[in-house]
Amino acid sequence: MTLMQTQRIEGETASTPIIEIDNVVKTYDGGTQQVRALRGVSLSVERGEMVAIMGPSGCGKTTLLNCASGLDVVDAGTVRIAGANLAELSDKTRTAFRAQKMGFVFQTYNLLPVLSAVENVELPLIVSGVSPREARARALEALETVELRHLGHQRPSQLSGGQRQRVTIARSLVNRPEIVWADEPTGALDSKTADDIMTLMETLNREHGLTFVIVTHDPGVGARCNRIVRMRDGLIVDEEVRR
Amino acid sequence: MKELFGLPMTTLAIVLAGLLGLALLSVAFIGLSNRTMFNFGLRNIARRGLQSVLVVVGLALGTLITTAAFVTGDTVDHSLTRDAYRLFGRQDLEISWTGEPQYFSDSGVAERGEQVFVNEAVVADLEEAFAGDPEIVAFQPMLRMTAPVTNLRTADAKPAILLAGVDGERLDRAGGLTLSSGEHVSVGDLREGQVYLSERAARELHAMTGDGLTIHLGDRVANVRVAGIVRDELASGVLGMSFSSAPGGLVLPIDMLRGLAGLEHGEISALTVSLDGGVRTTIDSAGPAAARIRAYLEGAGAGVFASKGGLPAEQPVEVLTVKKDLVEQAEFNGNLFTTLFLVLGMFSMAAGVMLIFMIFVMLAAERRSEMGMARAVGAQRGHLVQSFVAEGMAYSLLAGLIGVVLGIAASYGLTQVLLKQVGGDYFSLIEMKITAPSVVVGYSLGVVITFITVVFASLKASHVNIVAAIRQLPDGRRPPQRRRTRWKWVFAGVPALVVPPLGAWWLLRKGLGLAWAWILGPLGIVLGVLFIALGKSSEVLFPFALGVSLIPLSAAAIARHLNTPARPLWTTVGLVLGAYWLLPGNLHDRLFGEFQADIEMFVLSGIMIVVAFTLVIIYNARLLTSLFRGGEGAAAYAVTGGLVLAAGSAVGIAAALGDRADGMGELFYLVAGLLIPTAALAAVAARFPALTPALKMAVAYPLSNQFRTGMTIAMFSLIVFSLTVFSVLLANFDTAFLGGDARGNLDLVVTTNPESAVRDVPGALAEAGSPVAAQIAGSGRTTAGGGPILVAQAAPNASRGYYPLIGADRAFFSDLGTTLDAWAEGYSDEAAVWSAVMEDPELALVDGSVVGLSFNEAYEWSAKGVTVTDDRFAPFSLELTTPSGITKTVTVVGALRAQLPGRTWGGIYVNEAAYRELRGEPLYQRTYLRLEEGSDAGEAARLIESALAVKGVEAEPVQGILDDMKAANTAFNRMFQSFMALGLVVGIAGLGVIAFRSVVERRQQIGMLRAIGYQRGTVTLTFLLESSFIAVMGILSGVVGGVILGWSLLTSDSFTGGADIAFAMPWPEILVVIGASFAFSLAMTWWPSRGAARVPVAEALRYE
Repeated sequence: MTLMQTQRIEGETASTPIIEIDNVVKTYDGGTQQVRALRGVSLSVERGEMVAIMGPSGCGKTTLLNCASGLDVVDAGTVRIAGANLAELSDKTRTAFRAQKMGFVFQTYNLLPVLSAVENVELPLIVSGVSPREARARALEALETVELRHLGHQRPSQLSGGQRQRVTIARSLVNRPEIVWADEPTGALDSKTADDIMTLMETLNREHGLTFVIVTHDPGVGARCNRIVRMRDGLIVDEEVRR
Repeated sequence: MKELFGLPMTTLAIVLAGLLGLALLSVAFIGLSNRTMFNFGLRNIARRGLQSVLVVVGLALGTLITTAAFVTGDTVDHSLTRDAYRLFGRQDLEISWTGEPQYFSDSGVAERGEQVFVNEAVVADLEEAFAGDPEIVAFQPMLRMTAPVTNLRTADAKPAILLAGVDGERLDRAGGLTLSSGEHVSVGDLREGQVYLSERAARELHAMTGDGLTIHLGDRVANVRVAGIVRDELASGVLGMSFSSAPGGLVLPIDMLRGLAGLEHGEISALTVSLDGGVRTTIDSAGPAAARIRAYLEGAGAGVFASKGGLPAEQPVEVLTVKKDLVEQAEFNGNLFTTLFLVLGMFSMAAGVMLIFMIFVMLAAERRSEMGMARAVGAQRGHLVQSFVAEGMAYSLLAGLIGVVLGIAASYGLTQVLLKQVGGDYFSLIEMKITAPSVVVGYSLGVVITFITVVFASLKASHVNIVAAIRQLPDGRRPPQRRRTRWKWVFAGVPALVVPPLGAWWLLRKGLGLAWAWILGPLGIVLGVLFIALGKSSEVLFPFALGVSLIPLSAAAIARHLNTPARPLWTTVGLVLGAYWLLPGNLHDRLFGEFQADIEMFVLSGIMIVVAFTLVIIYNARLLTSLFRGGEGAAAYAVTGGLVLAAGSAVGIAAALGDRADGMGELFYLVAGLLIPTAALAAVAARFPALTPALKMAVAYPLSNQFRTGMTIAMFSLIVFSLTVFSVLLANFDTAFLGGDARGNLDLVVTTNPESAVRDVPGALAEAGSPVAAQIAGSGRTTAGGGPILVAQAAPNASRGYYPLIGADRAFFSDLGTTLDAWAEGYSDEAAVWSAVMEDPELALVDGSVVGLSFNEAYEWSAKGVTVTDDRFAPFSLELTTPSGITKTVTVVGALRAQLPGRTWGGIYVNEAAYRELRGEPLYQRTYLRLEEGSDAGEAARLIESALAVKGVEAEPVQGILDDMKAANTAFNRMFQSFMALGLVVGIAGLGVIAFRSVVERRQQIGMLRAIGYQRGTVTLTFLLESSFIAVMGILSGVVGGVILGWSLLTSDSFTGGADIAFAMPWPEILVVIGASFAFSLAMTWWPSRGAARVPVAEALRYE
């Protein structure tokens, strides 16, 4: 299996939506008042889709991404990833599930500054128990995919913003995930670099069938996705299928 | 405690309280003039409760240490002075005609070999002369003799009890005696055949009121009955401090004692004076009263001791302020103790200052964005400083109170629990004492130090790049500031140079705009050169070594400013400093000449070695990540294999060296000890590759913040260093001076009291049919020293002082078989020295302390300028002058090896002929015995006493004496070590602060790690490993620095005085230091590390 051959979760069929979100509610305790971030959100994402979640600040976009990816737990409703109900998984299993099946891209890159680019990329493999040699080979392959193999031994501080985000993408790909969750992936980049990053993600989606769920403010990013889901006040208010 | 560093404690308390007041006023000024920034500071305290608690604990440690030092000093001072007052009671002055005070007898048997009596008629003369003196209450004649006493009820016998014959009527004028119950009694109330027994004698004889006693005085035997048990004091015949081994006393009317002793001419052996006032209120009047008596004896009363007392006309009579002197000595010892505590506490205080600095720098880091915002809306740097100062003061006031309470508790633990538990009876006199000035100084010093540190930390923290702070971006390197001259600061700075730091700051920095490196660098170099010159000219090591250290540090500061790469620069500085400070002592002497050094060098060397090691670690520890190599199969273990090989080689070299090469083998064992755990770590990384990122991050993350990590490593290192050096030195001294060799081949010391009929102990034992007689392999007799005589060392060293002269019989030189530690050049072997001294009355031996091979706690004098190299020294001459004016010169040709207490063993040993020339016929009161191999010295001592106790013979096993000395030393050492270990709390708290801060700083990263698949346990492990890295680096650098410095000192002739010390590592103690430091560090960081693992992932990812 090559790097970009994503794994299929056991028991899953091609027609099953890879992400099924049903009536999810999430409330935060804001001290003096409760903040209802998600008020009953339902969403389904098919394998190989590239979905943009858009909306004004505070509408619940990132909360939805966190709940859907298992980074956060929901108060009510269910989240199924490839048929697996996240609420039924222990923290340990959910963590392992993330390590093996998901990739993450954040606006602020979240690379470990004390590790080199290739070490950052191989990190998810190492913690999953992959042998160091294989992890290094796959990390270099992932960097190759984002055209940064030659900068593998540089520290994040020695890379530009766009290069850092490419490393982040490489890290999100290295474990051959089924889904890549991206929270404002172009938020910290200039328009040219942002365009390059989006082109890269489009390519990965199109050529390798990777499922992308992208939270963004940027209409330009939304415009390059298959579908745009719009949110307001913790609810999905509109969906627009682009192509 | 009345003084510290020569300054009255009350003055210190007032000055420090004044400084505290100034600090409070400055905070009050901030509160009144800028309430917003004041509130900004104060309200931050409540924001993070747990962190605030940690900050308060961290800040309390400085006050804890100062208060513990002062209260312990108070306690020692109070206990010693209380015992001095207890000893003298109402006896204030002593009129002495023997050349020395008569109040002190520290041995098992009273050993005043020469009892010189005067007639009681002198007392009447003095009373008449001072009848009108309002301060002199009574002259107290006494007759003292030692005798074996047996308790008829219990059959307990003591070979020496001091019989104190007193004049009841005169003693009553000064309050009489005091029963154990506190009731005053008079000797005049005793009926025929009744005596009082001192508490000490009652304990020794297991006696109680009503018991019958038998006194064996020479050939005379008397039966008496105990009328009461009286408190131990001079008047009840107890001539020594509580911890001394002076015998107990038995009080009886002076006429009764004369009758027992067959004295018929009104003889007295001691005369004291009681002054008007209480036990503690006569110190001030003692000097003038003594002067008046002295004036009388030199004027109208001149010759009265000759004419009426029967003393030889040439015999001088002295009036001694004995109580005042001993009380002042006790106070001096108390001060010395506190000073020592404070000097040793400086390690902890230095670490504490670093902790305070770090805490505030980290508080500032946490509030960076708020500070950036405040600056953005117009707050000046000064405003930020004000808010931090307000906050810091609030913390430190509270922390000071807690520190005082904890300091008192620590002092209680050290003195009342540890000292008494380990030291036993020797420290029974210790009684807790807290004085107001000590508490005020402890509190104020802690708070003022904190305040000053907070001000400096705030100045550093207030440098905020506004944009970077608001956006939470790294600060980056600050652009060089445009240099321009600000004339108003130049003009203000020139006159301000009267306060050099302030003037230099205003003139050079604010006025001329020079970079700090261009101010401090050249200044450091100039000061360094001056210090070196000062050190060389005065032959004092402190300024010399400080100067040598300042130059590379200052030069590096300039080089760094000129953009020299940091890593090679500071690594070189670290190596240069480390090499200088760990230079073997003898090599240093050869390269730079000999210097004098004192305990302050301990502190300076600690700081410099720690600076050196920390620089090397901070700039090079990243190399450790190469230990965690990936790879498959055997290749993964290549690093491990290399390390194991290196460790094996180190062990091989160590084993091959053995005790040779000044014990350098022990250092190789230490190297192996460092390599083996490193190899284990590399093996773990190879076996569990999933741990590799965590291990790499454990090294890399701390090193990404060099300042913070360096400070924490330095804190740990400083404390562990001090503990290690202390352990190494004490363990080696204990082994050298109290170990197997310290017996000098002697097994028993047998002492007979002056009135005893026994002079030939082996003969008496054989006669008594004791089985010990058959076990004796050698014996030798000496006199008991008597009063010390004047000793003058010949030029060029020309030292003078009083020291005991000891006469020894021929068997001591030929038969006893005791050994020498060193002897004079020109003798073929040890036997030649023994033989020469036995035959030649112009030659002498000395105990080892005279030539610096051991310590003598009893006498101050020692020979100067005698260098012992390879157990040889150049013979030197001493001129000996007795109190009666007889002078003789002897040449010292050997130093005895045995390390018995100075009061017993210390002396200039001459043969019988030489002794006879100076002091007349020797009275051999002491017999040393060497037993056959396999004999039990303790049992032999018991058998000797059971056979000869009633004849005034006391026997002690030499090893037992050494063991007691060792126990007392151990108690003191443990107390000092425990005190220094308080500093570890500082290091551990520092680590805790860092760990908490790291979790806060890296919440987002924790979220990301959890997002990509890190389990909670792995996150905990990552943080624990980071803290462990810092702790291990600090601990190991402290241990390595401490051990090497200890080795360097112990192999240096100028430090040991030529004593032959085979360096040995106190492995158990070192391992305890390492293990305890690490375990507590892990325990401290477990909490925040576990917290890191529990960070909610989604929340952490959005954390800012």
